[in-house]
Amino acid sequence: MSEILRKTATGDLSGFRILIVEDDYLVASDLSEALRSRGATVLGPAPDARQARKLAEQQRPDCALLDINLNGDLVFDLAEELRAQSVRTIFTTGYDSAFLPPGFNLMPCVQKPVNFKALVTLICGGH
Amino acid sequence: MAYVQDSLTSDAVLLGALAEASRELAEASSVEEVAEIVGRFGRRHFLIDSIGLHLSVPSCVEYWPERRETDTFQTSIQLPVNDAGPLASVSGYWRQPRAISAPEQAVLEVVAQTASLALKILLNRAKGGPPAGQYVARERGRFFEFQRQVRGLLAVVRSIVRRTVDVPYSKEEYAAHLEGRLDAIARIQGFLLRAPEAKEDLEELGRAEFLAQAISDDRAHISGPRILLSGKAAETLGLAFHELATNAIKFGSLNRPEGSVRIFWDRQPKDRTSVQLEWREQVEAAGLTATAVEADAINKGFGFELIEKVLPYELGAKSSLAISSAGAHCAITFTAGLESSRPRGQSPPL
Repeated sequence: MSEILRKTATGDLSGFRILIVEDDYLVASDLSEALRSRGATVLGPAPDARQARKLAEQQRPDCALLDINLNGDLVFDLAEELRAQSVRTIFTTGYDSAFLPPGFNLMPCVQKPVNFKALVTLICGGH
Repeated sequence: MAYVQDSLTSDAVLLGALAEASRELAEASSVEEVAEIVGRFGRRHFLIDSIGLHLSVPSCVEYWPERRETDTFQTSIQLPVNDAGPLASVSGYWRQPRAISAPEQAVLEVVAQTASLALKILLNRAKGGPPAGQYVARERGRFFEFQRQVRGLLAVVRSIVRRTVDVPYSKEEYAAHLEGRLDAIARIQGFLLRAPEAKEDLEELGRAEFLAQAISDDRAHISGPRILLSGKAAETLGLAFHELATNAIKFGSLNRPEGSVRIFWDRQPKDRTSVQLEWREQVEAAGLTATAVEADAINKGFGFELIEKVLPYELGAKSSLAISSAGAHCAITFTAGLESSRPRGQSPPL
């Protein structure tokens, strides 16, 4: 079995650097803990785009989980920047995927409360 | 019955015409214009001899392929323009008997539905509402925000359930803790759902918590200038008050008959957007025993997390929580807008 297939099958996230951008602390901290328990390295969590940019500049993430509405500010500028750097970007949001504007509507979108298994599959699938 | 061949070359042409009519209807600026667009469409593409837009008739879907009432009325199709009750109908009449195909029937229904939406928007605008495009965008936007709020709230509730499980309570204690936390969330959401963009009064937030915990006014003192909180600030501070009050009752000053709690705040003189708030518990001379202090500290797990982690992360607040023989002392510095200059009793901007 190839390394990628093995990781996908077991949900093993070791070696993944994942940036979490989420304005709700409790949700962000649960997500961080769950990803770390699968072996991932978590960058953040960051409550806003400014702090997320800082983190992504220090260490390029393999994958970014972005909440769309960060205390009233939409995250699409940051999503565009990360995409330009070929960072795999997944929206984790309360919005319906129909909310995504043209240009972003093909990017993966997971609705809150996040189903962790589905999220892990998406993260692995894009590696 | 003779079948009259019409000018349609194919269903594709009809669909193209439908798209065009829909666009025109979306931009229509009067009821007359809606009637004109529907009429033109019917005459051109269905060879309808007469088409009517009738206001104030019951909504209906009726189609009589062989109805004969007069010499000139051979076939009629009548379609609803409103799905919610009496408003209007679109009817077409042919002088020659005519049968229409299933795709044609479907197209006419879409035209009627689009005309219905156009009329609703126009009537709404006549009542002072915004133009059509804005109206649709606003309704859509509201729905997206509503979905986001509900799903976000469920995510937070899930996190809180997880945190409640993490502590080794008995089943009864677990249920009581969880109920208390959910009640607090429901209370705060209740305030925030009063209006879109609603703000919550800091004093009201504190009083609601004391009331819910049956703590009388003589044991709980609240003072400070009027501060209006954003939704996020209200949620987090409200939950923090709940945890502090619960623990004060169980282990802290409110566990003693003579003990009391004070919440007080003020704006900082140098930066009026900065608010300094304190929660201070007081007991008479005897004070709390070392065991009570310890138990209090352990049981403040979620309270500690809210005050020392959540508040800095979500509100950029500076905050601390300390437990002593006098009970808990919590200090929070956070940013709030300057609505406080408004006299009391006046409603906040929505």
